[in-house]
Amino acid sequence: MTKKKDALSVRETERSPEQQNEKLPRVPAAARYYEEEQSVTVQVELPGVLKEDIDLKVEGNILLLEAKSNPPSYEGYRVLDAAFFPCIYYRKFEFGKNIASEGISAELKDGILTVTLPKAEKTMRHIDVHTAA
Amino acid sequence: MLSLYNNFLTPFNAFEQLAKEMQLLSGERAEGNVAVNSWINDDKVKLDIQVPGFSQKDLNVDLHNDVLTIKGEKKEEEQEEGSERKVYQSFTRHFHLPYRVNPDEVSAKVENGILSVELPREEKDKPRKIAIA
Repeated sequence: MTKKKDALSVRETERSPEQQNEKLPRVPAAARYYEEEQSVTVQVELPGVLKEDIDLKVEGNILLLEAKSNPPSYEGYRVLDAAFFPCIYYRKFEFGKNIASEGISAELKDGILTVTLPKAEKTMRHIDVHTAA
Repeated sequence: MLSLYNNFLTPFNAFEQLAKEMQLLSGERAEGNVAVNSWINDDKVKLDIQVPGFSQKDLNVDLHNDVLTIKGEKKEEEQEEGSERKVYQSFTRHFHLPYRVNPDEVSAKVENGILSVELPREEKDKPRKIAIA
């Protein structure tokens, strides 16, 4: 019986961190966004999330966010109320085609991630009109 | 006893649960609502409160007898050429503490959008073992 238990615990530790993350519930992160003349700004609420636990990806005109939240629990205490729990915050944003992916910047402050996406410069070209000879 | 404490700390539990579910559905945090994790033992109550976007100057922690009040208020105004942005956020939360705390020893800190409050129990309120002669 003990042997079986050991085998189980080994399997548990063999899981990579990514696999362990898969077990966490996925929670849509609260977000707001606004557009300015030169850029689009997205603000996502990630309370208690550390910078190194944020995975922010851009693919074409899609911005993908995943962030691991691991709120503390304290030993020697009884839980009275648990409103938030370890989870993966996620959010996907799709933009129009005119986002300049190279210039995207992100900042984490007071549990809010602010992502600024510059708009691609509109290039307007004049075309000379020739008259037929 | 645990459930009694639970009711003390969250008198509007059912309402909160509904708000929580709505939040999960929409991915938005309802205005005026904050998520709280709380713990207790014989010596201390600990609260962790999600306050994304609120910094130290936006938060107010107040203790009056056995009622702890936490207020957050934030005004953001940004004006740029041709665009104006105003954000106003606030919340108030009251906690009825299950025992008397020593106001001089209450501590609070905010980090990464999580406000942590520690409320040590008043010495004379602590349970005492009575020696049987």
